[in-house]
Amino acid sequence: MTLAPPRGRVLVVEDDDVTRDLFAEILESEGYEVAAEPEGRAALVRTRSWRPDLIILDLVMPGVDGWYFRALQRQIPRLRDVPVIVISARRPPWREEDMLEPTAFLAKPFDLDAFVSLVDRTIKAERAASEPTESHFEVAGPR
Amino acid sequence: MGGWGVTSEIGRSGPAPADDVVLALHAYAHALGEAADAAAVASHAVQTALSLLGASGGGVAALRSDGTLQWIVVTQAAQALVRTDLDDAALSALRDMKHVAFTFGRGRDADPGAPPGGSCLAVPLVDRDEPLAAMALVFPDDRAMAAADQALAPLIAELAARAMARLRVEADLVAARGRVEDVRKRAAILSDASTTLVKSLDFGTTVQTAARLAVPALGEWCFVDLADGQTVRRHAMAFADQSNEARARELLRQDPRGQGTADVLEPALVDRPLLVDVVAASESGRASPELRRLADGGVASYVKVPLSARSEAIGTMMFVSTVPDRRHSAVDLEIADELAGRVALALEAARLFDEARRAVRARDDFLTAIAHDLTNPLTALKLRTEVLARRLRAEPGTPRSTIVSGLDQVIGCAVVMGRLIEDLLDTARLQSGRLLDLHLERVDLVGLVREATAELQPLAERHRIRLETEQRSLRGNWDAARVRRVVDNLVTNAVKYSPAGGDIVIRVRRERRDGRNWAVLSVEDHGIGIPAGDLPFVFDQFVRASNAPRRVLGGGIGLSSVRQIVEQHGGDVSVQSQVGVGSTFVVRLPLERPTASTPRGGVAR
Repeated sequence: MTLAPPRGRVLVVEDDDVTRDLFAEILESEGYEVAAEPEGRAALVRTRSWRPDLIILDLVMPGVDGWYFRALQRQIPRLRDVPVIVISARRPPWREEDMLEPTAFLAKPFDLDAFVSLVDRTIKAERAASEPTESHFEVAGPR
Repeated sequence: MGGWGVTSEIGRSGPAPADDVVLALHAYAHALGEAADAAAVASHAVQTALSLLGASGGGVAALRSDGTLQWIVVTQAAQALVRTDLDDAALSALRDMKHVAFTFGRGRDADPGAPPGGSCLAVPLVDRDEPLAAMALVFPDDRAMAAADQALAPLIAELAARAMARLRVEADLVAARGRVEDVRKRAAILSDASTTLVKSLDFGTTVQTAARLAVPALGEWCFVDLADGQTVRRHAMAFADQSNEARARELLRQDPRGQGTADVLEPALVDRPLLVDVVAASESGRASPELRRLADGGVASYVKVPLSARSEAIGTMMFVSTVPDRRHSAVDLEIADELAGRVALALEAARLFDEARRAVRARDDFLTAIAHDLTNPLTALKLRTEVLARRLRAEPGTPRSTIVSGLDQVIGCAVVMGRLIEDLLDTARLQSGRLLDLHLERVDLVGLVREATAELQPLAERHRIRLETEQRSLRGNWDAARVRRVVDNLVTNAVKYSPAGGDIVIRVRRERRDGRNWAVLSVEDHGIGIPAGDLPFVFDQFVRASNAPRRVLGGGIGLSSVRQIVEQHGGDVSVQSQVGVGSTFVVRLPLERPTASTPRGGVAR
């Protein structure tokens, strides 16, 4: 059993190489342990050995996209309660059949500060709940 | 002509006493007032003449347009003289517009069958100087000469002429009233049609509305058929009631196309308005078996009118009347034709509206796709700049290499965005129906690809972008910036659809095909591949697979842009792909200056 790093583990699922690397760089500099994958299948494989405290999820991706990933994640017990921040140029409202129901949503493009503070708040809220129970929905970022 | 004063003279030479004459004339005038047609008038006139003048027979004849006589009424006794003396008398009276009397019968003794001699009196029936007819009377003796002297015969004729004139006016009135009725009906149907047709701009609704517009005013059944490429399909049917619908469906069911029985009911185009009186045709005995079947099926008449838009037949409207008393008239055909004109206009408007709506939707999708595609590099650019700025503020001694690599990424993002905007402009240009302005110049494809590879590599860290070629250079007349976009789009696409990383191999070679020299560029990845069913559509703009509408937004316009650019150079693009193995896109560009494929004005300014 490994000790979780002080600020938590974040899994980034984003297909754009530059953006993905930036997310990783920013989060690492904020003190998080980061894993980054370009699409959903690789991300799911990663979680077998590495349980994240937060998932940052892009929607439009080749391969297993954000919708598909979210649907799979909700079926997997070890991942079901991990909070998810959806980051996309596609804004809510999503259609009902999208079944995304993320913990929070951040619309691209966004500010660095908005991103960092949303990650911080989401993980703290997750920690505060001793037992992972209800998820809360929050929309941040510029409209 | 003579007035009532003539009665005083009658006693002198006429066979009837004066009182009887007055009574008879009263009765005659009254009967004329009741007469329903010219034959009744003529009959009353002859009867009155016989009784008042003592003629043995007579008749009334009208002048045909060819100058011959048409006998409206002839008494039995006068029949033998038709075509001879009776005709002579009537024609003479009509020609001279005054009465004529003569005797006949002399010199006919040789013929035992000839009628006995006698006399003849003819008077014209004149209305306002127009001879309507002539009344000719036959007398067994020479009394015609005496009768001619008195005014009674002209009086009888004048009263008859007035009655005929009255009948004519009444007939005109009836016809006029009918015309007014027709005009009213036409106005009602057409104005109703106009107001109803404008209520919807939806094509399907308009077709359905059109079918119901004039049922039952123009028929109990209405079919609307529209041309669909080479075939004509029935788009709408309307029926006055359920029993009519049942009858129509029974006929249609019995007579599938090709059985040769009731094809008239099947969808077909007509080039001019057509009216068929099924009842009249079958009564005449000249009806085809098909028309007889229609008659048996309860069809009384039908009209077919073309629906035309921009002088092209786009369909047919057919009205069927099942009520023998309300068979279609020429006026109905006119109304139906005019109605069809309005329906065609409405359909055309609906079609244009539909096209416009689809174009607007395509534009919305386009804008959404563009916004989405621009968002990724913009996000990266913004974050990279912020991170760099934050770091420079926090650590004054930030290594130069960090700054340079950060700025390289910023430049890379800007390049990507610039390319997207170029694609956007080209696409917008093509969407508005204009071709690209190609700036043709001598371009070395090998050098161009080498440069692109170097610039794209930093944006794809998990991939190795390789150029394989045996050519040192390969020059053609192309639009350098656009060919570069072709390469960029294909490579970016390869990177995007091989998320696991790996080699992206670009090959450039020379090929001779169809008697021409080609530069062939291929981009191969080892990514997720494209399902076979999607392959035919990858170069289309904003393809939306119906099963996954939300998935395509990221697809953007890159590949459709590739195709447009390549095709306008006179080349072509194709793709081979296998799911889970990878994709290879192949672009062929002509090495000689493009000729036929070069659009007018498409060459460099």
